[in-house]
Amino acid sequence: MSAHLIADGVAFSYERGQPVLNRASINIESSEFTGIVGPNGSGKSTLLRILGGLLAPASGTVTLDGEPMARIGHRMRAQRVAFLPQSVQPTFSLTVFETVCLGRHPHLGALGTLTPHDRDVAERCLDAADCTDLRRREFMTLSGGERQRVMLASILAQEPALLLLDEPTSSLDVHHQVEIFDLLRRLAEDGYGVCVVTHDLNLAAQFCGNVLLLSGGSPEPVAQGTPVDVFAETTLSEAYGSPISVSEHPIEHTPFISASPRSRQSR
Amino acid sequence: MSRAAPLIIVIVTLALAAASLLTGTESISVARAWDEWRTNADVAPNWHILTQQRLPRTMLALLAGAGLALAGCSFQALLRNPLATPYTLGIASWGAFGAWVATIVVQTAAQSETGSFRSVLLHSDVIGFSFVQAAAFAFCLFNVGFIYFLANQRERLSPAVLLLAGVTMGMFANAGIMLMRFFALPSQLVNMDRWLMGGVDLLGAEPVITLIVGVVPCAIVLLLHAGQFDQLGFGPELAAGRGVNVRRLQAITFLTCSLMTAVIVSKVGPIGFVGLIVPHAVRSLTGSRHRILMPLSMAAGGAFLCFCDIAARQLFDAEIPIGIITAVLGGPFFLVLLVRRRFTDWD
Ligand SMILES: Nc1ncnc2c1ncn2[C@@H]1O[C@H](COP(=O)(O)OP(=O)(O)OP(=O)(O)O)[C@@H](O)[C@H]1O
Ligand SMILES: [Mg+2]
Repeated sequence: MSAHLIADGVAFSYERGQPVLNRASINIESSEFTGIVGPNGSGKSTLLRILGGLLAPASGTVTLDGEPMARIGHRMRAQRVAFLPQSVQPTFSLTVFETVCLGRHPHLGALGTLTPHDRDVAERCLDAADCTDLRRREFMTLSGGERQRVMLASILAQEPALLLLDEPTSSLDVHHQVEIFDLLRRLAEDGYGVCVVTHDLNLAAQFCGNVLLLSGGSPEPVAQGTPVDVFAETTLSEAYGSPISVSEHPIEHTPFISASPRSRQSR
Repeated sequence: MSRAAPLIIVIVTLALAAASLLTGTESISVARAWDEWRTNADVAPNWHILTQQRLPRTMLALLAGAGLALAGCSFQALLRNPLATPYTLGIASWGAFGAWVATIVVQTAAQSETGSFRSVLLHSDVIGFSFVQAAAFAFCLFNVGFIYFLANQRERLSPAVLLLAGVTMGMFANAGIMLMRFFALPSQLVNMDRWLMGGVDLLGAEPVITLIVGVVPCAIVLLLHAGQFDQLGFGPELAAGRGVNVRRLQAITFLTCSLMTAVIVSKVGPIGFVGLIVPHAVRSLTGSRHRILMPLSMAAGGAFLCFCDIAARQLFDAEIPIGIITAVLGGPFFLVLLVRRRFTDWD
């Protein structure tokens, strides 16, 4: 199942607010791993919400396989596009397995009964996100990173064609960060379309085929392209409004990005 | 979840319903009632008491309990708040306000010269509702409509706005009630206080039919959204990503629960506590998946009101209002549950 999500010339501002996005365009396509990066408040989550059909752009178009997003039914959309918010706020305590099974929602009938197939999918996704050993735990009692992995498993259980993930590795340890990015890359190789918002530029450089860089100062994106093209010192410094240095990753030979505190720079 | 919990809850509900049928000041025999019906006896005291008094009473307790517990459970999910009850948004207060206004109006009418006005008010029957009940219902609907209108002014229905608007509207109604009390005669005060304590001691099939019409369709609508409440439990964004039309779900839940509660309150009075504690008690036994939680809350709510109604008839010589019993018996039970079982929700 291949899918193609296109945002073209999108502009957006929240109620009575400053424009958050302007003339932003991005393609999320099957078999591709795209990253969205940029400083805090640059509109990454906003763009992802627009891509997921949760917000409607003020101008510009968002289409899924050529059909305008707004015209696709909620359930149909959720079968093809999954969206992981930056933070989830659970109110009810479910077990990890139940939480992952929630991901099957768009595929279930009116009574919401899980079939053996649904359970199999949930088991596989638990395994993929390395949380099989957590399956009987209460979700509320998990650590931040464990929760994040379980949420990722539940998003995978949705079995969409496209994955939109807002900072899926922000609370993970070094090992799990790389593992999850590697998992996402393998999913992309298997034909999923993957889009992640992340603050980890090095992981983005290492794993993403394409990146979109948003700017802190202006609603318009700064640059778009392969990590090698986008992660140039001048471009990054412009987006973050502060000097950023780029060297070469010692092992992966991808761009290696680091920032120094202002106090050190002035000396 | 313990696997036996659903079965136990259903069995207890049936047992309490049966017990409620057999409880009362007259001792009756089901066998004799059956005989009376079978032989088509002219004088059929057992059959009459069973069908005209006990059955309606039990059915009312089951329906009201089920509806209030389901409404509480749904409001807790909708508002993402463990303190939510069917009455949080002021429905009970507006029902009471309506009942008060009607009582005062009827009294004034009773003293008035024009006979026709008087008889219309005293004997009118709006689809099975007395004037007081109809007024309570109308005031409830006004409250619901107004809150919905307010919440709709925003781009999305915010639980916090809904909650605060509802509480504020409730305060308005309470002020209105105080004003009515100020003008009321002592006899009216007694009557109204009795109404506020609730009661399922209504006679005949008519109130039962009203409650069936009010509760059953709403319950079906809510139960069909059980899966979506689970999604909402992880926040509106995740739910939206899973294909839930969050705004539509919020609107449907709010309107259906309010309508159901309004019918119940205007028929049997604002019986408190059921809508708050029953969903939490069931949750502690079965977990929070709404496909299981919601139907079992209904069963447990019905069982709880049957139990309280039995107690209301048995505890003292005179029958005491059910609204007092629900709090007196339910409170300690719930506190024990709170301490004994682990409550991980909303932590
Ligand atoms: N619901 C909202 N109402 C009003 N303004 C908002 C809302 N959500 C976000 N904003 C504003 O829009 C801008 C972009 O927010 P967004 O959440 O998209 O940033 P982000 O790039 O995801 O940041 P972060 O890296 O901190 O997650 C910010 O200035 C933010 O304050
Ligand atoms: Mg963000």
